[in-house]
Amino acid sequence: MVDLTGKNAIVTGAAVGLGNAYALALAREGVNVAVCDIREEIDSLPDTLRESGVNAVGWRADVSSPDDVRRVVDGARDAFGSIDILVNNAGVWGASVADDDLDKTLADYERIVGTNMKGEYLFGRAVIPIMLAQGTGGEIVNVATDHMVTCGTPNDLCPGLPTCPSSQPGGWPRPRPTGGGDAMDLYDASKWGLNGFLFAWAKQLRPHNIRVNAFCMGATDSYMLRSFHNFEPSAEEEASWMRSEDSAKALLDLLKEGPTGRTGENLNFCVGRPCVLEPPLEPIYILKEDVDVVA
Amino acid sequence: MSLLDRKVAIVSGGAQGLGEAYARALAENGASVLVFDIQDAVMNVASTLEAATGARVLGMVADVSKRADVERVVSTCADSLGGIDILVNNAGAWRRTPVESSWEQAIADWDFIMDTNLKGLLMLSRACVPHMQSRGGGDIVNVSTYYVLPARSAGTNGTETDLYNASKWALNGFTDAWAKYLAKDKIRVNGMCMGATDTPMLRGLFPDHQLPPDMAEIVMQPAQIAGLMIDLLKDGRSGENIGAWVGHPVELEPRKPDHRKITG
Repeated sequence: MVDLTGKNAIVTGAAVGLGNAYALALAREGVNVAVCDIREEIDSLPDTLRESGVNAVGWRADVSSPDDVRRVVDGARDAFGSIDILVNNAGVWGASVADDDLDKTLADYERIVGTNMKGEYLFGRAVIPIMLAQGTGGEIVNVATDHMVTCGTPNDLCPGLPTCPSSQPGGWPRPRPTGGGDAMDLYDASKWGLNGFLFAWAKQLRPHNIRVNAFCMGATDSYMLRSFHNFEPSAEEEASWMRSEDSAKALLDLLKEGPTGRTGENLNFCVGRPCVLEPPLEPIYILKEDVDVVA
Repeated sequence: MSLLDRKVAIVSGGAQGLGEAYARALAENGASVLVFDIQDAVMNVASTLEAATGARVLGMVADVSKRADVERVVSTCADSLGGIDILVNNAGAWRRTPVESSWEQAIADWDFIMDTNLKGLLMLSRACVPHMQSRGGGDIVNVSTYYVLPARSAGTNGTETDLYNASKWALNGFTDAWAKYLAKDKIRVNGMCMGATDTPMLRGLFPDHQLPPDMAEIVMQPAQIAGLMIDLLKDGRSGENIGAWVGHPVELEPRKPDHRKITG
């Protein structure tokens, strides 16, 4: 287990929801945290983080803007001296369907693909050269969705997991198919696209002790999910959700694996079973030797 | 009479390689085809195919990443060929995008890859869907890569092409959601996910555009992949990523259960 005290992290989209929980958990673990968000609540977050005795800086920034990304990454490095951890969390949701008109489609593309996919690309591409120059390894965690890592990826993923809800009496009919339904084509595309960065970066950066993993979150109590339910979820829905704090605990556990831990993995967190870090899975879309620990 | 008689198809990126093979296979099976590309050579492809197959084949020089070009292609197809039944989203951009690239290069690379592979494909599909809906059905084929299916060999999801890989992974979201949403309109949507095929894009990776002998021996041919696409269209399934791997038979596998349609 690696001690995270004194490491330096960036968390995007940290004003509310999962990103906020990630930033708070990192600070309580002794990690200095740089945060950004387009939401104004970000302004007061550094003060809150400093209450844990760490350094903290924050900016209002749009992760789809290269200039904003540069400002945050360079600002974090200048403030802390190095960047050890990047949590690519910023994301947006919006309904989009196959027969939307082109005006709406292009606006959706800029917002959803721009934030969820281009944002993670830009932050990765800004931070990776810094981590490589530091030569001390690093951690990149992208936040994705369970839409792309369902029970069927590619077969039955969960039989080895006694906690899988599908294996319980009255559980989900298994296996659950991919996707977020028929009205999230751009959201799902933007999250599937993250696999391109996950696998290429994990393979290439393993020899440099830089790990890349993704959290594929199912329904979690967060600003995004509450907005999806018009901020009036039923008690049943609310009770079924995972908690951001549990996801943050799993994030810390992943980071504590350190450079010899897993890399190139989509970690699946689905509603109905404990939101905890499970043991590593065999790679599916790349070969095991691509990401085996370099001796 | 062929199943595709009186059907109208659009093939993007049809000046060479796989796009040309798709256009040829569609024309040989009786479809009228509008084939477009940013390369002028597409005009020769169109006239050659028309002469060889007897089908109507219309060529256009157009850039799938430009909205005005996309709208021009779609309206031309509807006006000149009478509608749109089949869209083959083949046009693709490829270049090495190593993580060590400069910041300015990284930003330019995003636009170069995504404007064509993701945004262009999205615009063209959105523009075609209403035409398919008004004709009571249709087919969309998203040309992807074997990278998005479980690894059978080394070399998948290459480290120097993160943006290309990502652009193809993203298509999973389109194939999946469109197939579900458009089922009510009898519009089928599938992905073609193939490994190394003998195309100018592949040859361009090697000195003098010559495939290494060991690769030349096993590489798949565009006509094989185009034949697989025709089999797919005739089969009538939807929402599935169809794989074709070097060293394995190129044939339409049995339909997969819902939870494995996209993930393979």
